Amino acid sequence: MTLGTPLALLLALIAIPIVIFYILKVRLRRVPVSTNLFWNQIFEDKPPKSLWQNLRYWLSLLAQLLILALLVLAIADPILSWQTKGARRLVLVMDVSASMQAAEKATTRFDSAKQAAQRVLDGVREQDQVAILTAGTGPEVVLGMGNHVPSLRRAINDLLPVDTPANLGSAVELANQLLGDAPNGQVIVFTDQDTPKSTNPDNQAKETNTVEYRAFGANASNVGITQFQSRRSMADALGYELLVEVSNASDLPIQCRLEIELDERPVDIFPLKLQPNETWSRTLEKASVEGGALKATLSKFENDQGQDRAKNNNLDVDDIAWAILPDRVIQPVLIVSPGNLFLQKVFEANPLVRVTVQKEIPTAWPENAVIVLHKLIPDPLPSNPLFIIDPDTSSSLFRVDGLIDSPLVTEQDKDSPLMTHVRLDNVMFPNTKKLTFLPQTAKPVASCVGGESLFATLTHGDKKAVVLGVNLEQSDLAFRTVFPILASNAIAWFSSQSGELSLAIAGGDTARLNRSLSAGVPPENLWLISPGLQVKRQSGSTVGPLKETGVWELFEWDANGNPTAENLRTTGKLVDRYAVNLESSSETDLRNTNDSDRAPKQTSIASWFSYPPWYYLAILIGSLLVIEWGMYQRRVLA
Amino acid sequence: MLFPPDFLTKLEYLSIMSKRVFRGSLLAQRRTMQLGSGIEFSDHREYATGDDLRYLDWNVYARHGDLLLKRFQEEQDLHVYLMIDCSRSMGFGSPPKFDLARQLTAALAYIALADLDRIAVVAYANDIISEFPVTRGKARILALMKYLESLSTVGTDTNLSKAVQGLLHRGTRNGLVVVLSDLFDQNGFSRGFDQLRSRRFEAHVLQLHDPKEADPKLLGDAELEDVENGSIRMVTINERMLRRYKQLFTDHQTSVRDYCRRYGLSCTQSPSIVPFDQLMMTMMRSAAIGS
Repeated sequence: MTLGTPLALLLALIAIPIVIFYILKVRLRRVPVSTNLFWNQIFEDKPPKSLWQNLRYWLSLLAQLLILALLVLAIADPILSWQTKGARRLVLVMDVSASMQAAEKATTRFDSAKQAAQRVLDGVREQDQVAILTAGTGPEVVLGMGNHVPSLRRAINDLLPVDTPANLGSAVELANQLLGDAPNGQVIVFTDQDTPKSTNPDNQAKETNTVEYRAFGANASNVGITQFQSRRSMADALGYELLVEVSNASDLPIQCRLEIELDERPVDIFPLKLQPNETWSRTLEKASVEGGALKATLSKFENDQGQDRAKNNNLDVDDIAWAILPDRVIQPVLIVSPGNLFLQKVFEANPLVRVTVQKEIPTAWPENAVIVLHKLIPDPLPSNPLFIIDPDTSSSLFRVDGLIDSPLVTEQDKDSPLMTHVRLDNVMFPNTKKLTFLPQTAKPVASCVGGESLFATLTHGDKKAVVLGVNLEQSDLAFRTVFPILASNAIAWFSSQSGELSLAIAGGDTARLNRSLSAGVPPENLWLISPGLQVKRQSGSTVGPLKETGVWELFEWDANGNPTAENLRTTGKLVDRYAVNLESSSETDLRNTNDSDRAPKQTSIASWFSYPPWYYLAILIGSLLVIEWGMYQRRVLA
Repeated sequence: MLFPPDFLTKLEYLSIMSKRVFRGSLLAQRRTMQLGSGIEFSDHREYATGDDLRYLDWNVYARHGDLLLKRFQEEQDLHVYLMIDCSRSMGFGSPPKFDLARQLTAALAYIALADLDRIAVVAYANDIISEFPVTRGKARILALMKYLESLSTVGTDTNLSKAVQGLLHRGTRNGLVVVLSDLFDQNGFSRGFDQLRSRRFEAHVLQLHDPKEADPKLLGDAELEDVENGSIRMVTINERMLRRYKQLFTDHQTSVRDYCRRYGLSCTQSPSIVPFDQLMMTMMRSAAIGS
C-alpha cells in the first residue's frame, strides 16, 4: 500500500487536543438545586453511576480517536495494489435509432437505456476509463475515453434519439477499435435490437468476450408507414403518382386510417384493415398543377380489443410520412411559323403551355418563352430556348445542306430525356433536311442510315436548343403520333422538369444539393431548417445527414448574422425541400425475435471492492460517528 | 435592591386596599377567639356558682326558668407572627425566593401595624435563628425593614417543627402565624403546622417556588448540588426521570394545598418571579372571596 498524500498523517496530531479536551469535558457539570429532596426519591433505588456509565466515557474517547485515525488515513489517500490491476476500459454504445422512442409504460426504451447507462456509471471507479458512442445510421463518438463521471453523466443525459435506423455492427466495430488490446475492456451496447452477428469470425470471437448487449423493450405492436414516395406523371402533365406502403408489425389484426394531404388539403383517406404482419401497398394516381408537401398520417388504431394505443401502436415517428411534389410551371411558347395547324394544336393540347403564334419573324422576342421556329429562321437567333423544326435556311447553329437521301431512322439516343416514351425505329421521314450542326456540343438524338442527324440537342449560349429537320407536312402517321410526346418532352426538358421519382429520403441519409436550383447562390447564403425548426448553415454538395423525419427546407438568405427559422421563412428565398421519412421496416417492427438475449446481465457492474480505500474509510467513519453520536446522546441528554 | 425607594409607597397603598377589601377579615381589627368582656354576644352556657350575675340572661330565666349565662366575644389586639424561612434553599432562584419572602413579610407587617395589631418576625432554618420582637405602631416598620435586610440564608437544614416549638416555648400569645417558606423540609412540613393548630394559632401558608424548581431544564449527566446542605448527587437524567421529578414536585405542592384545605388554613402558592405587591393583591382578593 502506498499513500497518495503522506503529509496528511501529520493531522494525527489533532489527537492531542482531542484527548485534552475530552478529559476536561468529561468532568460532570455541577448544577445547583434548591433541594435534592425529589431527586433522592427518584434515584433512591439506583446507584449514581453504573459501570457502563463510567465505561462509555472511555469508549467514546476511543471512538473519537478511531474516527480521527480513519479520517487521517482517508485524507492520506491509500492506494492498494489491487486497485491498479483492476482498471477497466468501458465503451457504452447507445442505440439512438427511431425504435428506441417506442413507448414503454410511462417511459420510452431510450429513457430506460439511459437509466441503465447511468447505473453503469455508478460503478465507474477512479482508475476506469469510459467512452460513449451512439449508434444511428453511423456510429458517432459522443465522449472519448475519460474518467470524469459528471461529464459522462451529462453526456448520457444530453443524448436524444434520432429518426434513423441503427447500424449496431459498425458502432460495435468502432467501440472495439477504441478498446484496442487493453485488458479488462468491455463494450456495453444499450439497444432494443437483436444481437447482430459479426461477419468476421475473428471479430465474433472477440465480441463474444468483450461485447455485452443490454436489450430494452418488451414485445410491442406497431403499425407504420414504411414507404411514401411521389412523382409527377410522365403521361399526364397535371398528374402525379403516390407510392404508399403501410406495415402491420404486430401479431394482431389492426384497423387504422391513412389520411393523405397536400399542403394540409385532404387528398385521400383509406380505412385500412391489416392482418398480422401484412404490408399494404398502393400506387395512387392524383392530379394537381400545384406542388407542395404531401403528408401521409396513420391514425385511429384499433384492434379486436378496442382502441388501446399501447397495444396497437407504440411508435409515433413512423405514423407520419412526407413527400415533396414539385410544382408544374406554365411555360409560354411562341410559335413562329408560316402556318401549321398541327404544330399549333400539338402545343395547345399541352396544359402546361401557353401558346402564342406569329406568322412572321417578330422584331422583339418575349423573355422566358420557348421559341418554336418552324421553317422561318431569324438572324441572329433569339437568346431563348429554341425548338427549331424543318428550317429553310442555315443559322449560327446549323447549316442546311439539302435533303437526306434515305431518311430512315436507324440510331436513336434512348437515354435522352427527349426520347422518353418515344421510339423511332425504322420510321421514314420524307423530305427531311440534311443538317450539319456547327457547335461542338451538338448531341444527335436520332440519326439515319447515312449517319445524318435528323434530330439533335445543342446549347445556344446558356440556353438549350432542339433542332428537328423533319418536314411536318410530309411526315407519316407514325411521326404524327410521336410528335406530341416529343414536343411535351422538349418543353419539360427546357424547363428542367422531369417525371422521375423525387425520392423521399430515409432518416439519417444525405440528399444531393440540386445545383440547378441553387445556381448562382453563394454557398454561405444557404441555410437549412429542420422539421424541428433548428437552423444550420448548409455546406458542401450534400445536404445532411438528415436525422429528423419531416420536411427540411433549404433557404437562400443573404443578410448577415445567423437567421432564425422565422427570418428565413419571411425574408429568405426557398431553394429546395427534402422529405425525410423513417422508412425502415426493422425500426417499425418493435417485436423481439430472441427474448433470451434480453435478459439483463450484471457482469459489468463494478463489484463492491472496486471502490477506492477512502470510500470504505468514509463508511467506517460514518458508522463510528453514529456510535459516538449515540453515546453522546446518552451522556449529555441521557 | 430589596426595598426600593417606592417600597413604602406600595405598602401604604396595600394597607389602604386591605381596609377596603377585608374590613378586618384578614389581619388588623380582627376579633380573636378569646371570650371575655366584649360587647358582642357569642353564646350561652350553664350558670355556675361564682359567675358574675350581671351576665345572667334574665329574659331566658323569665320565660323558661333556666339559668343561662351570656357569653361575649372579647376584642383584643391581634398578634401576628411572621415566620420567614431563612434556609439556603430560599436563596435559590432568580430572583431568590428569599427576597420575595422578605418583601412579603414587610408588607404583611405594615398592614398589621397600620391596623394597630402587634407583629413579630421569626427567622428560622433548622431552628429559630433570630427574631424581631413583638411590636406595634407603624413607626416600627423601618426598623423591621432594616431587620429584614440584615437577614441572610443560613443553615444546613430546614425544620419548621423545631422553629414552631421554639416559638411556642417562648409563651407566645395566640394569634395569627404566617409561614413564608418553600416548605422543602426534610422532616415534613405538616408537623410544624399541627403544633400551631393544636395551640389554637391561626396559621397561614405562603409557599414560594422558583420556576426552575417546577420545571428544571436538566438532561444528561450532572452533579446535583443541594444548596441547602451542600450534598452532591451524581445523576444521569433522562426524559422519564424529568417527568418523574415534575410529578413529585407537583405532588408536594398538592399535598400542601390539601393539608391547608383539610384544616382550614389559608394557603397561597406562588412562583418567586411574581412581584410582591401583585401577590399581595391576589392574596387579598382570594381572601375577600373566601370570607
